[in-house]
Amino acid sequence: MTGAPEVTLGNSSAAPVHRAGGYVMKRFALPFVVLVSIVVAACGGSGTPTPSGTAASTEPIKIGLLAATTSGNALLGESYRGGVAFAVKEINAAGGIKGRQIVVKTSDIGGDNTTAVNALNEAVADNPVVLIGHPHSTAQIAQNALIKKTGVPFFYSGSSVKVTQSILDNPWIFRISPNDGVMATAATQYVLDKLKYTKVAILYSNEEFGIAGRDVITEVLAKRGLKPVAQEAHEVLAQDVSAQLLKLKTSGAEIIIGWATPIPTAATLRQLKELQINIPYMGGRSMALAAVLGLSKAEQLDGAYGSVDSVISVDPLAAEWTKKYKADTGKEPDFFTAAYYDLVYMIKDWIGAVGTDPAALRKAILETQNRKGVGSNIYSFKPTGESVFTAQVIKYTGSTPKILETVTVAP
Amino acid sequence: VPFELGSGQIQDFIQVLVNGLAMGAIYALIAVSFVLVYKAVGIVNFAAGELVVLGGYIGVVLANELHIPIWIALAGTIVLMSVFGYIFMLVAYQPLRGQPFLVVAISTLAFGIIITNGIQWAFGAAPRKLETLLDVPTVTIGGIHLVVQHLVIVVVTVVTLVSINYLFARTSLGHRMMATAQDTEVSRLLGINVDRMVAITFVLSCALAGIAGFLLAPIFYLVPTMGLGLALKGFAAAIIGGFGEVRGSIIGGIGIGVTEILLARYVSSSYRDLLIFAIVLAFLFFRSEGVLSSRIGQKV
Repeated sequence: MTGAPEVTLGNSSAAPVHRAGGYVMKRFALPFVVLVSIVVAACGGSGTPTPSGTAASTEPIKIGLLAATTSGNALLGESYRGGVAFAVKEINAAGGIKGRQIVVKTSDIGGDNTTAVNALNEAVADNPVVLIGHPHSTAQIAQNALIKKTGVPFFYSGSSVKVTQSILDNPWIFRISPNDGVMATAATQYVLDKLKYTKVAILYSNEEFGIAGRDVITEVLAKRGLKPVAQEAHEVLAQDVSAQLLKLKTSGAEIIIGWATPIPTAATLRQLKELQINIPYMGGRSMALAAVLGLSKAEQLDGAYGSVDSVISVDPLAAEWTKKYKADTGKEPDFFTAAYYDLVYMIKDWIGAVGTDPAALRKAILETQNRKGVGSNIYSFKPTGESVFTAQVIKYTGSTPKILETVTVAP
Repeated sequence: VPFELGSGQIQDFIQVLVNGLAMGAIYALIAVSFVLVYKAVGIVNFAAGELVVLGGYIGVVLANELHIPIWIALAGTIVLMSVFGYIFMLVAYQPLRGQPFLVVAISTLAFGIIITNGIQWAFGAAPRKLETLLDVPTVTIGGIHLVVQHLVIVVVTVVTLVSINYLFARTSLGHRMMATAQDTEVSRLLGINVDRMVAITFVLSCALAGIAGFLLAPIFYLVPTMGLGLALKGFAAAIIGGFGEVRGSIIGGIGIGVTEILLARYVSSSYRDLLIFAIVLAFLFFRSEGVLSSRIGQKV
């Protein structure tokens, strides 16, 4: 129901009462008007998203953004929130989606699952057409049931392979970057096949993301009849990994594969140089995040490898966009920024094509294949909800990354 | 000794030990910051960790944003944190003076949350880093690679704590502060301006937190939410020290810093914190008076 029919219905029902002037009409006129008003109001306030196919609709398109704006997660939040905001700004400036402006309501997921679920409840109460989430495995698990119940498309980036492939099993969840298993597989394969190392040590953060990464690396090694020569864990936001590195130094490792969030990754790169441990390092997706690059000096990055989603800074196809983004925000984008920017444009096209009905949107999403995004990003959605299956292996010379190989891991 | 010492292992051990000493020095500063306030007014300052983080961010503003030379920035941080300590006392403690322990403790907790969110609002969530106090990252002595900032931390902490010891042991101000800590009413009868002594204690406590934050910022990446972890370790150091004993807190801090890194290196990096807090629990159960004196059960 829209606002316009509401007025028409109310007037037309009242008009005959005055003309007829009969007792029966007078007696029932007021209750009728009240009843109609209640029905109309109830329809207007229902939880069903307003279909954008209504030609005259100018209501804004609501997007619920479940982002970390506080806590240790806020670090990643800055990257992708920038991508969403930039895309929305551009789309709205160009007239929105068929004349309807996009409105993003951000709910803070904080640093724990309770806050994440509360944020989702808050976002859902606003009847968003789609939801966009934070790349955090355990938060997705906590939010999963409510996402399923809500029944609108929910997008986020990455997550551990175990979470994406077995725990969630939710038709409304879609991922716009490779799961961590893709990158851990690519990292290990590159180490074994291209660098020809067989003595691999693993340094991982002691939570779902790091443990899942460690498991994938171990599985790939096992398929080649190998075992890691050492495994060391650290806290999720560890700032001192010197004890672990000194332990790995004595393990005989030819390379260390690290699986951690940006702060421990930066700490590892710094302390490898400080302790003069000359074992090569291969990191995960953190190796291309603005947070790590902003914290690490050129000499700390020099010689390090990474298995990452993509490297926006050296992608010639992304150069123009990167320039535009930096000019607008004054910040360096990374692959999270680009992926969430791409997502908002995909949402624009899906809604533009089929409206806001969730089932129609889901169909449109799954029909999206080989969709080009910023730079070399390509999205092909599968029934599992995953859309990206490639990782880029990079190596730093000073602070400049070079793409060594793009690895595709079969879905 | 649970391992065999070869030449490489001795080098590793010394490297680990120096890293542990540096972290231990930071924990000692935080523990002393806790203890000073506890002794003066009988409350546990649950904002201690956040005050350390604030000190680090003030250092970043002075050194990185305003490009003030690093040693002057350290002095500036101490001054600004001292002023903040006075404000902290006026806002978080003074209005609730005389209220039960828990009420004031919650007030400090709330103040800590405000500091965290204020930092996040002002600086965002991206980590910040401070340059080292000396422009030499590492020094190699006999094949052992030592991080110079770790040595600086140890030296600055020793100088700071020796100065505090001198203040309490040799100066009239220190004696009046100690008298106030021991018995407020008697001190008042003796003509000591108790309110002033309490204010000076808050100022000193926050200055110590500022020093800890400034020293930590070059070896840690500052994020607004890192205060809790630091406060827990500082609190544990204060417990081991006998909660109320400055010298005990220093021993507790150094002990935790060294033990946690030795555990991570030679026992288990996964369960380092579990083992550390198991040791703290053991102290509470079996030596509640701390390493030196005073029963914790009567104090906390």
